Amino acid sequence: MLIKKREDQVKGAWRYIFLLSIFSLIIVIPYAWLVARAFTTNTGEFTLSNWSFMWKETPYFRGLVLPVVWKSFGLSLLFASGTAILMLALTIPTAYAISRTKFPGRPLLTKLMIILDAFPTVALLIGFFYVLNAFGLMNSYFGVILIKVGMSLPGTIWLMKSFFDHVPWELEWAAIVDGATRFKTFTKIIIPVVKPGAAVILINSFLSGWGEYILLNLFIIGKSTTMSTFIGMTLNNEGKIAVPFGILAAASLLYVIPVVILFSISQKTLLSVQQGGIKN
Amino acid sequence: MKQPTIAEIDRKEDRKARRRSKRFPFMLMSPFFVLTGLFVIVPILIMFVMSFTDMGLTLEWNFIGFKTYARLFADPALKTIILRTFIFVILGTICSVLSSIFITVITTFYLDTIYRKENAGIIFRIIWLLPSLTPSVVYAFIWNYVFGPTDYHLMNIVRSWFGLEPITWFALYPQQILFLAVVITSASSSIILFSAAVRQIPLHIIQAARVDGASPLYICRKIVLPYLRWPITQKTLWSVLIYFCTYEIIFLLTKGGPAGKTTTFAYYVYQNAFNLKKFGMGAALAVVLVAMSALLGLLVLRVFKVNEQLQDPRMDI
Repeated sequence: MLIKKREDQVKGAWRYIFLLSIFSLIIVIPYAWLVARAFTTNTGEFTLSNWSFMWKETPYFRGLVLPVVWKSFGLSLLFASGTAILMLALTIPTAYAISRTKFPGRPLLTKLMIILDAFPTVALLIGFFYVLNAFGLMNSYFGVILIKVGMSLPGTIWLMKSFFDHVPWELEWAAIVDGATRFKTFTKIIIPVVKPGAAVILINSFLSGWGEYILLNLFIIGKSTTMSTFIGMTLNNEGKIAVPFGILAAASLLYVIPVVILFSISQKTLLSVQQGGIKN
Repeated sequence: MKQPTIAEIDRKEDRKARRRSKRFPFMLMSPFFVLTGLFVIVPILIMFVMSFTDMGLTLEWNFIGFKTYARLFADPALKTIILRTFIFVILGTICSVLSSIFITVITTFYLDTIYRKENAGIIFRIIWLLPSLTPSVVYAFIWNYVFGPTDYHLMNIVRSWFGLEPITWFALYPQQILFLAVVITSASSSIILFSAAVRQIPLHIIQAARVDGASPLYICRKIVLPYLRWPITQKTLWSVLIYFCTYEIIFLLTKGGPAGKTTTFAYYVYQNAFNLKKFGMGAALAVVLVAMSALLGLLVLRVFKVNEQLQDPRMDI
C-alpha cells in the first residue's frame, strides 16, 4: 500500500513538471535561440567567428567600429562594484539608525522612505542634468553611480531595516553592559549578524549596476563604453539591429553569463534569506 | 577655585552622554540625507519649478505660470495615453502576479514539498529568475531577435515551416509583444519573495493535513495561499507602481511606437523631455505622473501599516 502510494507520487510529479515545462517554454525558447545564434551563421552552420569581438575591433555601421570588448567588460565590472559598495556603505548605518535608535521624526522618515521608493524615476531624470552640471559630474561614471545610489537608497534601506529588526536586542544589551559604546556595538556585534542581509543588498545592487543602461546612455553622452552601451549602441535609432546578429548574440551572452554565475553562487543566500516585509 | 563636586561632574557627564546619544542617529544617517537630498529631493524641486516654464532646446527659464498644464490637459492624446496606461497597469499586474503564484506553487509547494523533487524545483526557479537577472538591453535584444522582421528571426522561421511569408511582428502586434516581455520580467521578480514565503510554512502543518487525507490541491487552497496573502498584497501593490513607472523597456523595445500605440504615461514623459526636448512640458507631465503615483503610494502606506512595522527601540543609550 505504502509502496504503491510512493509510485503514485512520482507519477504525479511528472505531471507537474510537464505542465511547468510547457509554461516555461516562453522563456526557454528565446534564451535557447540566443545561445544557438551565438554559435551559428545566418544560414545555420556552426561557427565560432561570432566571438571575434573578444580579440579585435568589429566594424558595424557606416565605418564605425566597436571597441575590443574587454575594456567595456572591465568598465561594467568597476561600475557595478562601485555602485554595490557605495550602496552598502550608505545603507547599513542609515538602516541601523532607523531600526534601532530613537530620534524625532522617525515615523515620518520611514513614511518618506516608502514614498521616495515608489517615486517614478523618469520624473527625476530632468533634474539630474542640473545637479550633475552643478557638481561638474556630467559625463562621469562616478556621477552616474551617485545618481543610481541616491535613487535606490530608500528602497534598500527599507529592506535592510527589516534585517536589523530581526537582530535580538539581547545581543546589543550584552555588549553595552560589557562597556562597549553604541558605535562599537554596531561595528563589532550587529554587522556580523546581518551579513546575509548585507549580501542580498550587495548582490542586488551589483546586478542593477551591471545591467544599467538608460542612465549611462543619458548622462555620459555618446561616450559611455560599458557592456550595456556596447550592446545598446549596435541598436540604431529605429531599434533595428545594425550589427550581424551572431556577434550581437555572442556579446549578449558574454554579458549575461557573469550574472548567472554570480546568481548561482549566491542562490542559497538569496533564496533562504527572508526578504523584507514578509513578517506580518 | 572651587572644585566641582562629584554630583556636578556626574550631571555634566550625563548631559554630554545624552547629547551624544541624540546626535548618534543623525550622524549615522547624514550620508543618506546628503545623497538622497541631492539626487532625489533637489531634482524633484527642479522638476516642479520647471513645470511652470516652457523650456525647450534653448534651456531658458521662461516662466509662463499654469499655461503648460492648461496645454497639457487640453491635449486629446493625453486621454488615450492615460486610458492605455491604466489598461496596461491593471492587466499587467493581474497576469504577472497570477503567473508568479502559479510558478511558485508548483515549484516550491508541489515539487519541493509534496513530491520531494527539489532539483526540478531549483531548475524551474532559475529558469523563471533569468528574465529579471538579464540586463535590460539584452532582454530587449532577445525579444527583438525572436520577433524581428527578417526571415532569420525565430518567429518568421516558424512561419516559414508552414510556408508563410515573414511578417513584421513589431509593426503588427507591438502592444502584445511589449506586454508579454514586461509581464515575464515582472512575474520573474516576484518569485524569490513568494518562494521564501512558501518555505516559511511549517512542514508539520502540511504533513498533518496529508495524514488527515487532504489532497495537495486542498492543502494548496487552505494552507499555502493563506500564507501567501501578505506577500501577494505587497507584490500586487508594488507591481502596480512599477508598471505605472515603466519606461526603460518601452524605450528599448518599441520606442512607444508604432504611431504611439505603446506609449504609456511614463514613457510619454520621457519622450517629451528627452526625444522632443520639450523640457517644460516633460516636467509638467512628470508632476502629473508623480501626483498619480503618490496617490498609489498613499494606498501602499495604508495597506502596509508602516507604523506597525516600526519596532520601538528599547534602549535609550
